[in-house]
Amino acid sequence: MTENDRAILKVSELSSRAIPWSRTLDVLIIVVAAFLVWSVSHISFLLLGGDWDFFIDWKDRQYWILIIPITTIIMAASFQAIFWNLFRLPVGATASLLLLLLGTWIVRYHSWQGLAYFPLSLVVPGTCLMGALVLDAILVLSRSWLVTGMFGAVLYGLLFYPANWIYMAGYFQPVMNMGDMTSVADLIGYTFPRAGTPEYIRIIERGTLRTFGDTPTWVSAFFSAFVCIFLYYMFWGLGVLACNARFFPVGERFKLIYGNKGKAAGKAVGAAAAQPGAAS
Amino acid sequence: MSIQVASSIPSARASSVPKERKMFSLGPVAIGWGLLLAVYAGLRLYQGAFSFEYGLDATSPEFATYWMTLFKVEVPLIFGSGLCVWMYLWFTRDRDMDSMSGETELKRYFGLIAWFMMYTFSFLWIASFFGEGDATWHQTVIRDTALTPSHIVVFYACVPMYIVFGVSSLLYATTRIPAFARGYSLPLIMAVLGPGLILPNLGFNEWGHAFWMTEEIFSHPLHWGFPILGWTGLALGGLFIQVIGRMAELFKEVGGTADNANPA
Repeated sequence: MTENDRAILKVSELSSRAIPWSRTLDVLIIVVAAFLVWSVSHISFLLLGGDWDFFIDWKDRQYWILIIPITTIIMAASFQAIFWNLFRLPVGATASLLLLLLGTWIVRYHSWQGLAYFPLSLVVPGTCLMGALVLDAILVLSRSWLVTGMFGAVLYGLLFYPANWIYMAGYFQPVMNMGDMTSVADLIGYTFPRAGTPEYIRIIERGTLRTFGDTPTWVSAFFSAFVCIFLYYMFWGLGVLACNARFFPVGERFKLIYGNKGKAAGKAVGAAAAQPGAAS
Repeated sequence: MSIQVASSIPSARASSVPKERKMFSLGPVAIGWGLLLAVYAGLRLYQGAFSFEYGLDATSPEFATYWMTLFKVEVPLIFGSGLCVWMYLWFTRDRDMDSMSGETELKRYFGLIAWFMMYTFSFLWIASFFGEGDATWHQTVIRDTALTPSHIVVFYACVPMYIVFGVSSLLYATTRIPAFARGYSLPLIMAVLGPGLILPNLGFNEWGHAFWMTEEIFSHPLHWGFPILGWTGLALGGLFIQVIGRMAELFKEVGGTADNANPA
């Protein structure tokens, strides 16, 4: 046991008998939290902006750059608020985006490729991890959600495109297809038609030179950064709200049915209100 | 992983050393995870074998054999099993919370966390794996029924599964832990009820797809009910406060404080 461990134990006032229980609780909470962060981050991203990340030829310069950061920062902000408020851990955004990336890769491999036989080169996911690291770093340095939203959220939106540029660059190479120039990404898209695409074709920029990017990508990135600021604050608030630990009082009959007898039933509401965290 | 706590029950050999019994054992959770993993892996393999083979035409006899049979078996089986668990939890509830020892209460808090390990694990499979897996089907096949091979797994196996574990967690807490039996825990109800409402929200989803659009745009507003109800899972943050706060008190109450049992 290190000097640091002894100091922590002294502050916690735990006996040697209770220390293993506390450590076990730590591990269990981490497991539950990891499953929770993974699940909620993925379902939120999937049904608010997932389409724009499914296929490489849909990662256009307009909507992909705008939608992915603003649909992922919301859960990053909420989990940042929860981890920061409850445990003073600046890991919420990184945990959210890291587990999202892990989950996305698993599905891309096992379902997109394994079930529907789309090649991985067509369904490779984007990443927001760099922005998440910056978001958490600014929170731990500033210790302020206001400052983090103002600067971190902006950087989160701006860093998305350059962070993905490395793996995207190859897909932007020009190739000739039936006498016209197109990108490698679009050529892969032409080769693997998808049944659900008519509406996407109407929305997504594809099949022209516009897909090579250029300056409009930065217009989208700055707009995304702008929206990220407001969504960060809104969903930080949701995270704070989620930490509400209220117990609502119940009637005497409820207490009796649930085994609270006699005088205990009488003090039940008071006991509930005195529960740790009830007033927060 | 298991930890021990001293019990006041004398050992069979009448030794002066008090008998130790487990406060938390990972065994049941590991078995539960293993069973769930086997079910989910089995469903995925079944999809791989029969989705494109017999699942493309909802009017075909093969579809009825391979997919509607699965649907007709899984829904009553999962909810039936869940009903048995819920009835067990209810009829074996603690009818005298007032006389509960701190040790028993602490053990039950660990039990509640074990239930949540099952709940969040089962939720993961619909929210991540089979949830996005549904997109692979929709981007490949235009739907001709609400009961696609993908939906029969994700909506009618995975959703009932986590509802069973969610409601079981709620029942375990309210029937066995004093604080949750004395008042409604707002975060606990949110964390169980919100994701549970995803099942009835399917009605709106399928109705919208039947009358508005057969095409699947995942980020379409028609689908926004799912992530919004998924956000209620964030309420586990509030539940952590309730659970960890009380457990921290019990650690000292049951295990003693550093003053009378210095670890150093």
